[in-house]
Amino acid sequence: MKYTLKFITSLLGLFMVLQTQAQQKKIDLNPKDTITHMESYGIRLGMDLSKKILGQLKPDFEGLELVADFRLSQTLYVAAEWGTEKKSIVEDTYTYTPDGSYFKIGIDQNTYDNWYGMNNMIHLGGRLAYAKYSQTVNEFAVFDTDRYWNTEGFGVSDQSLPTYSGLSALWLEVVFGAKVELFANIFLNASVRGGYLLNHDNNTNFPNNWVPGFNAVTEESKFGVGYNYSISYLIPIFKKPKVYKESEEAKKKRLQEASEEKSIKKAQRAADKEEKKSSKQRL
Amino acid sequence: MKRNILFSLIVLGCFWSCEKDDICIAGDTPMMRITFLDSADETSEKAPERLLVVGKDKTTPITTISPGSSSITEALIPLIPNTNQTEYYLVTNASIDSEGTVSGNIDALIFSYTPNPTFISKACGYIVSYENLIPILTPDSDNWIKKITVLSPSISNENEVHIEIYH
Repeated sequence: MKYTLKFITSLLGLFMVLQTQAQQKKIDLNPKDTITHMESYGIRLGMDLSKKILGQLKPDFEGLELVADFRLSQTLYVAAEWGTEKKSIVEDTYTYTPDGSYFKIGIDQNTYDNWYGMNNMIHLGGRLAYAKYSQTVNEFAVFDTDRYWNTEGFGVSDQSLPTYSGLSALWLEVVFGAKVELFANIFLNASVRGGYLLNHDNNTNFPNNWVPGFNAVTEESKFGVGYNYSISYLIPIFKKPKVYKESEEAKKKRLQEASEEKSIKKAQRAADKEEKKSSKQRL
Repeated sequence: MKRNILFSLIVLGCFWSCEKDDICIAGDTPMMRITFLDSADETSEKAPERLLVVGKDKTTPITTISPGSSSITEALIPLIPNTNQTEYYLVTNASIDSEGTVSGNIDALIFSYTPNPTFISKACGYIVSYENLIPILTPDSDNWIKKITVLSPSISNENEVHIEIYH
């Protein structure tokens, strides 16, 4: 009993000492938020859905496109696409099938400022793209304005033309698109692309108005359009704190503080100089 | 979530549906040009009497010469561009009766060749030029055509003469 009482009183005494010590600490009424919000960085892999659906709906189309991107910083991504395409095209007097694969690589810049926890993108980007493909003329009729032998339309030739393989095209693309996180790490993506052909094998004896990946090539124009709708999965590799955009007020405050500090330092330096001078004079 | 839905509403798609208005003006398949010469005097032109040119299995004469004319010394003959031979009946002293039957001196002439397709443009597609042109006269008891020579075995320009027919 005696010891118990002694223990309690000494414990109380200890607390009091601790309390006074604690109160000696300055209380910061406006503490800086030190919580960092971590965001996932990693490789996002996906597949184009529109090509798959088109392939199911249209028997004359086969296509596959895989998409990937890797996050470099808060807003910058390295992005690439690889795909194959085989499409039968029917023109008035001939049908042909371009068949080949393409690769595009470039960057995407996210212009959308997410709230914490969101991972969406509205992005602008650029690509350098290269395609390797072949053209096969399936059937052709001979254009002839004389109507004696073929009174209606043009006669379908009984000749078959060889497949022109080893063709290539090089082009630049501007990409505008959006990526939405549907569920955790699963994204739905859509983009439109404007292409500008740099190089295109077009001076040979076959129709070459469709390049896999670039789509329709218009005669006497180097521009083309494309789109993709894809679904992708983010494989998180590491986490980095979110970089917040500075608000106007905070920026103003920071600049003001910096300038104040500068002027104080300046004044101090001037004072130091004066002092040195005067001390020299005294000597 | 609301923002996500808003996001999803941004559907980016461009579908151009242009009417095809391409017209081919860049080229055409050439015809064969023949001349009729005198077999007795091989340097002078000679028009066959009342000439009629009809393609095999055709019911109408070719339209590039006026049928039954006696003043044709040069003619453009269309070949079939999608096969490798064309057969013609060249008729002199031709007359067509009320039932449409042609009578006269009929000579059958087969032109065999290799069509060479050339891609012109998206609108035109392919035209052909002809290579290895060979005329074959079917012999009969009374051929009015005496001799045929090939001036140019390839037809890519219809302004030059390709075949000379002596009679």
